[in-house]
Amino acid sequence: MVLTVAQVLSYSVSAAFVLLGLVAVVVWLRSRDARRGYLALALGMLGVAAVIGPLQTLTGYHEPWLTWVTLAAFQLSGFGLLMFRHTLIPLSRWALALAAVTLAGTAALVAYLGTAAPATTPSTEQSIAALLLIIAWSVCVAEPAFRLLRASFGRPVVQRRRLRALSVGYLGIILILLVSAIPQSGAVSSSVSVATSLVALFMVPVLYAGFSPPAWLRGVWRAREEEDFRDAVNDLLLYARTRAELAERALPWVVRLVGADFAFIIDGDGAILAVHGTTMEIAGEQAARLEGQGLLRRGPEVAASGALIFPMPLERGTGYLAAFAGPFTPIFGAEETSRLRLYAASLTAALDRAQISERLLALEDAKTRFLKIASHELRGPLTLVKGYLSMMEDGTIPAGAPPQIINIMLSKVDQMSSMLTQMLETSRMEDQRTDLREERFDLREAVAEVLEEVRPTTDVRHELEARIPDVPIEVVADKERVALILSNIVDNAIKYSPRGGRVAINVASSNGTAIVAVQDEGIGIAEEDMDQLFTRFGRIANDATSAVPGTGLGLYLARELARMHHGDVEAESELGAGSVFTLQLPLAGPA
Amino acid sequence: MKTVNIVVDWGVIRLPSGTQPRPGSSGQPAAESEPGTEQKGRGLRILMVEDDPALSMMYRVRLEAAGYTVALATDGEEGLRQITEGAGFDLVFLDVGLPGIDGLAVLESIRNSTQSETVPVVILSNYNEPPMRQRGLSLGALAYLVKSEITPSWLVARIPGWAKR
Repeated sequence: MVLTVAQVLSYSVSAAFVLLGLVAVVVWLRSRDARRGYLALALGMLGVAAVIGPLQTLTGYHEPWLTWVTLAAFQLSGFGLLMFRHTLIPLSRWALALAAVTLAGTAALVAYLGTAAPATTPSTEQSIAALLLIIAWSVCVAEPAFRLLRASFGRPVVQRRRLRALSVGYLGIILILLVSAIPQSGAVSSSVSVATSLVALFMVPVLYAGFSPPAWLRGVWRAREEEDFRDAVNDLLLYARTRAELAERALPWVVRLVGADFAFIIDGDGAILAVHGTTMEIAGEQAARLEGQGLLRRGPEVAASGALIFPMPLERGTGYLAAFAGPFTPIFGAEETSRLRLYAASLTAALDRAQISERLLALEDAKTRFLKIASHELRGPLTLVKGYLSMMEDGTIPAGAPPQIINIMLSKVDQMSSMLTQMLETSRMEDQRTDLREERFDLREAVAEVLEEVRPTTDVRHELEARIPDVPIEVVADKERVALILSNIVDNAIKYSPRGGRVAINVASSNGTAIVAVQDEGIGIAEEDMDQLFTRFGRIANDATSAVPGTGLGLYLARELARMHHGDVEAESELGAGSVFTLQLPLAGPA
Repeated sequence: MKTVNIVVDWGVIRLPSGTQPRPGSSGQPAAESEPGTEQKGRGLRILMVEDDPALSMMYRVRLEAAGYTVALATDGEEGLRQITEGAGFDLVFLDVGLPGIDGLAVLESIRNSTQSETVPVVILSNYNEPPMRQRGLSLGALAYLVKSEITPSWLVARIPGWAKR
């Protein structure tokens, strides 16, 4: 038996497709995931369809059922690819059903016509049925091929090449089928057959590269992206003022490295540190969902519901990095996962390092604000003291000045002194140099002493009413610091009651806790400003407060100092109606 | 349980009438017009826009001692209202850090209003920042003074030079 070139090529194509189908099945058996399964079905069935015709020719064994098997295998190969596409980019149930019915219907038609009138030269009906079958198959295959091509844009290089290889491979097969389906005269026919066989042969390695690219090929593909990755890691080494800034700079790299749709970073305390590619709300929802499903506790990394999650053991607690797949960015390959794991590790280290620059920035900021307080807030009281003293000196105010003037000057000097104390205490606290000199004392005495020191700060009338129990309320604490807390709270009550009124101070004890509650009838604090109240320099700026001098440190210090004593300072307020500030300290045990 | 009541209130300061500073006793650098010419002050109306009541009271004590009639405004809006409602002030002392609209914005509005564009304004601020100073002067303030660097008597000595005649 002498074979023509066209025959040799045709057999080689069949053999190549069989081989491709076998490899696809082996790859699927190794991984056992559905996506590879559908691809194995598509390629395996293509192999089956490709091998039956030549086998029949070679063995001379012709049976109608073999034709049916061929038809079924061919149509299944088309449906397999459609299902593969469905796992990446979901199709509606209707579309899948329609495809299945059309594929089965056209195959049945061809089979029926073939059995009814077997002939060497196909009848017109048979030709039309065969054409319909090829068209149905081609549509089922072309749609995924184009969709994969479209999905490949913006993907990391390995995925991009794989998707494109699959796409090009299938489009090539469609081209071959359509060309073969057109009737040709003898001479042209054989050269066309040679050409299509050559194209088909070329498509086999292309498809192979699509579903299972060998390591060396991935290496070649990735070469340029490796540079990207190095750049991304280098970027982490660059100076970032804050952790949030660093995280925000890192996320675009994350999205690019794995071809994610969006990504976010959750800080050690559970707060969202940065978001890229979506809104804060959606990131929050996704974080809650991950939390709710317990995915975060399941292991070092979870690829579930389209998300890659990498825990980041940060100094301030374990946070995580999450990258999400989107409708056109459906798969995270092994390379992407391992690359992101490396990147998450570098990011963790970088975030911890950025904490240092964040701290330096905070110190710098504190210095600037201290200077501002010194240059502006202290000038107010200074102006007044200097003004009255100069007026006493030049005789504007006669000897034996009205006692109010002396009172005002003393209160302004107190104000300056308290601002300086607050600045010094804050600076000590910043450097963790606050050393408490604890002693046992009666909190009632401390309250009484603070009240004796209270001076008017404005010309309006305030009535202080202190309700003090008859039994001692003993605490073990730093007496000076407790006095500082109390005077800050009482001063605030007066300062922020510009229309005057009553300030009620209630001293009590309950359940092992000493309590001093200071209630005023002042301007109050808006609900939305409550969070800012106890922060460092957290002065609430509005028309009602802008005239009130202050450092923005008083309540911050009060709370921090109280917490150092295992107590707390809390606030309740209604805007326009007044506030209650409560100091709580643990009662001393029996002496 | 015992209840302690304390009242904090410094009331209004009134100096004995006819109080006058001793001439030349101020430790300030020599003024352009010597103190002692303060009798000119009689009849002139001065507006003090200052949000710190203790400070405005101090300045009022000194200005009234020099025979000026003093009106007070505690925020920018109030100050602007008094100026543009044609109260006919001979001089305005204007603070910069004010609740609501700040002093520089008040000054800009004064200059844009036909009733008040010629009112003499002197800025009294505790913000000693060059851009603020420049902005104030470019808006036509006669002077930009830092409160903690001057005394009330020094200020009074300069009023005749600033006030509208």
